Amino acid sequence: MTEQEISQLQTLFQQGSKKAAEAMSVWCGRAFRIHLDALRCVPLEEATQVLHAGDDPLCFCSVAAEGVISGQMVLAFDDVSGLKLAALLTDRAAEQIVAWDELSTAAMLETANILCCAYLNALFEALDAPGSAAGLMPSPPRFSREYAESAVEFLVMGQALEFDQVLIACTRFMIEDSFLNCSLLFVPDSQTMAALPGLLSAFTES
Amino acid sequence: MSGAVSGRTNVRMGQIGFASGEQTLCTLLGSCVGLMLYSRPHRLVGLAHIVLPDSAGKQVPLGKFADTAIPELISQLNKRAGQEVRWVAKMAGGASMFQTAQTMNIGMRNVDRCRELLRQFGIPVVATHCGGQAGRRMTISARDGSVQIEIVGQATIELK
Repeated sequence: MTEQEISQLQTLFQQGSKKAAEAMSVWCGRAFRIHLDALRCVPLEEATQVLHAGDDPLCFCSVAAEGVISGQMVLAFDDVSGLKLAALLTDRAAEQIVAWDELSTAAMLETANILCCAYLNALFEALDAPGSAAGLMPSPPRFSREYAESAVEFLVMGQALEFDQVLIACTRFMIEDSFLNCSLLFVPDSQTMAALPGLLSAFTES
Repeated sequence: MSGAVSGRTNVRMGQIGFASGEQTLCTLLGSCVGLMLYSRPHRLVGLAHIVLPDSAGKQVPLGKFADTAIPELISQLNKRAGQEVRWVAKMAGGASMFQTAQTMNIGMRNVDRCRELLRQFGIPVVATHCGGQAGRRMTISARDGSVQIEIVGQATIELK
C-alpha cells in the first residue's frame, strides 16, 4: 500500500474510533475514548507480536466481516482488564468476578459487537463505492482464550495467502481516565487488501 | 533465522530453527504447522514454522511454504549432522480458530501437504497433534526429541 492510502485509511479509522467511542459511552454509561495506536503494514513474521503479549494467553472476541470489506475484527484483552470491564458493564464489584462466567462473557461479546459494528459501519459509509451491492455482513462475535501469537497468526492468514506484508489496525481504550489493556485489531483479508486502493480512490476526507 | 533466549529458541512464522544437546525450540501455532525433524543418535532437531502449503514459485522466505521449507530443513540438518541421516518427523498445528471462509481450510491443507512431502522424502511421521479450533504452544527438546503441546485451559500433552 502507498503512504497516501495508509494515511487515508488512518483518517477512516479515526472516524471509526470516534463513532465506536460514542457507542461505547452509551453502552457503558461512562466516558469512553478510543485511541488509534497503529495502522501499519508489517512483515508477516513481525505481525504476531503486535499485541506484545508473548507467550501469554489473551481473551478474544472475534467478528468476521463479509461483503465490501471482508476480514476479521477482534477485541483482545487480558483477563484482568476484561473482567474489570465486564464487572462495570454488569454493575457488579470487580472482586465479585474471579473467572469468566456466562454473564461476563456475554457482556464482552456485546462490547465486541458494538465496537466492531460501529467501526465497520463507519468504514462502509466512507468506502461505499458505486456498485458495492455486496453490502457488509458481520458475523455474531465469538469468545475464546488463546495464546496471543497463535491467534494473530491465524488472523493474518487471510492476507498471508497473497502478500508478504500484512496490514493491521490496532486501537487502545480508556474509560474515564483509566487505560484498559484491550486492543481492537482489524485485519482485512487478501480480497479486501486487493480492492482497497480502488475503494480508497472514491474516498474524500470530509 | 530465529531468536534464542537462554537455550530456548523461538521459531516464528516462516522461520526455520535448529537445536542440539540440551537446547529447546519453541513455537506458537494457529493454522500454521510446526514440523519437527529429529535424529536421536545425533541429538539434533530442526523445526519449520510452515505458513502455507505451496510456494507457487516464490522462494523467500524458504520456511514459509511446505514445499520449500521441508527440503531446506532436511538439507540444513544433514549439513549439521555431517552426513545424510534417517530423520523422523513430529507435527502439530493446522487449527481453524476463528470463523472465516477464506482461511477455514488452510490449517488442514498445510497438514496434508506436509504429510505428502514427507512421504515423498521417505520420512516417517511418528506423532501428530493437528486440527481442532485452538492455538498451540509446541516445545521441543533436542536432548530426547520429546515434544510438549500446550493449549490454553487444557492439560499439557506429550507427543511420544
